[in-house]
Amino acid sequence: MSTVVRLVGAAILGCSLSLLAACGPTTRTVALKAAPPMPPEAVYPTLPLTVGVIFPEALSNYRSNGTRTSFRRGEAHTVTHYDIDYGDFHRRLLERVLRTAFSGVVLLPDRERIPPEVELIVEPTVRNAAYGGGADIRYTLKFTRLDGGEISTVTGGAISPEYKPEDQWIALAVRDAAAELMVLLARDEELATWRAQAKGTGAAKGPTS
Amino acid sequence: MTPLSALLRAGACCVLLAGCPAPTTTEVKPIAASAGTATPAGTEGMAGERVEIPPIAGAEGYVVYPAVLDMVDQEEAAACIAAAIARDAPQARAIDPARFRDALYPWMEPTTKPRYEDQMQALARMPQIQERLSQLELRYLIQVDGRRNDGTYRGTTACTGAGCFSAGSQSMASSLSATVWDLREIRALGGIDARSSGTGVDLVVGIIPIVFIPYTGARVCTEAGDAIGRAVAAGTPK
Repeated sequence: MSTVVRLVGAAILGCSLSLLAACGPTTRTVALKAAPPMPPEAVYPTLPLTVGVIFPEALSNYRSNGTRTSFRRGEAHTVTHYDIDYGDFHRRLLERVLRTAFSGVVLLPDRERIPPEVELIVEPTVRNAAYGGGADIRYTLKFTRLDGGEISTVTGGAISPEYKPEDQWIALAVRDAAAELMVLLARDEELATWRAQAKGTGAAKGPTS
Repeated sequence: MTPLSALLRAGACCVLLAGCPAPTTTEVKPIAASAGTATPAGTEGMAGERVEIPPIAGAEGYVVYPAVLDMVDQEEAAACIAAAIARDAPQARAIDPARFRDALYPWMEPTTKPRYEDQMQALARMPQIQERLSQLELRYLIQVDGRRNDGTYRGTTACTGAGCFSAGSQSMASSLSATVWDLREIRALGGIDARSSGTGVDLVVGIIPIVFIPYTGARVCTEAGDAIGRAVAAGTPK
């Protein structure tokens, strides 16, 4: 038997026995249109604050597209091309989070006309929304005083595994990301300190510095 | 897919001479109850030795919940414990873990779930949480943490004029711990920690695979499941 034949035989056998894993990457495409379900009603100690929410226009039109490569032990890597348009799902989800977390939520077009009951401003954004090898979703809530001074920035998100069907792992990531935001809001020390100072001084709109 | 499982699938297409269990080493030990309460009786030992957990009044409602959510190993471990309780104490009242997760949203999600005892106690003390637990008629949380840790597959393949030969091995280890929480009294009652390890071996002569697998997952499932099942059966009237 020639050396070449032996090497080819060994390579074929080695490839199949060492695990029959594909020798090249797996490529797939994720393109979902239907938005995930909203998380369940939360059991939550609502913060007695009225926030004004300014949703950036980009949030309502947020569309995720890109390519992500994931690796799993013992298998070839997977390249996922994703193109996911959930419409205004992200905006609705973040509004739900804020309505759970705070006793009052007022939607504002901008900072120009702020109703008197609003005590602080929050601007939500999608920091990351990538799909492939699981979903990786991250939101940021930036809280500022009425004069624009920063109070706190809360970033919450989640990475879900991909072993379940795509719509399920995306729903899990979204649900988990919203949960983390809520829990972080309940525990945010800067927000709590600001609130204590605002209520302590009796300042309706909280401290300005 | 792990090397051995891939090989098994290949074997299904070939002539499978053997899929024999390989020897395992299994240890079991109790998990202590909350500080200030009695530690459950029982000592560290080998497989088959009893680790006793205080009786669990299963009729007052229990849920078996993975320590880490949405992971295959964890869900399998939780299913193992749930099946053991259903077998040993069918009269106990199980709460669907998905219902529990929804009812306590957002506090029992993968990123928000309490990881330490003091976090769990703080959560269980929240009035809103106690109200939800009361609505669920749930007293016990059985938190299950199952993990599998396989070593690197090492193997060799050689072909000669007489044919090809391949041999490989891989260390495999599984652990499963189950901790019982009394959510009414807000304390951990104790639990069990089972660990098992062994080495899997495969030999291939030509196209014929011979596989020896250490069933470590099954061993820890049996040890932990039996201990929890006994505790629920002991506390639940028939």
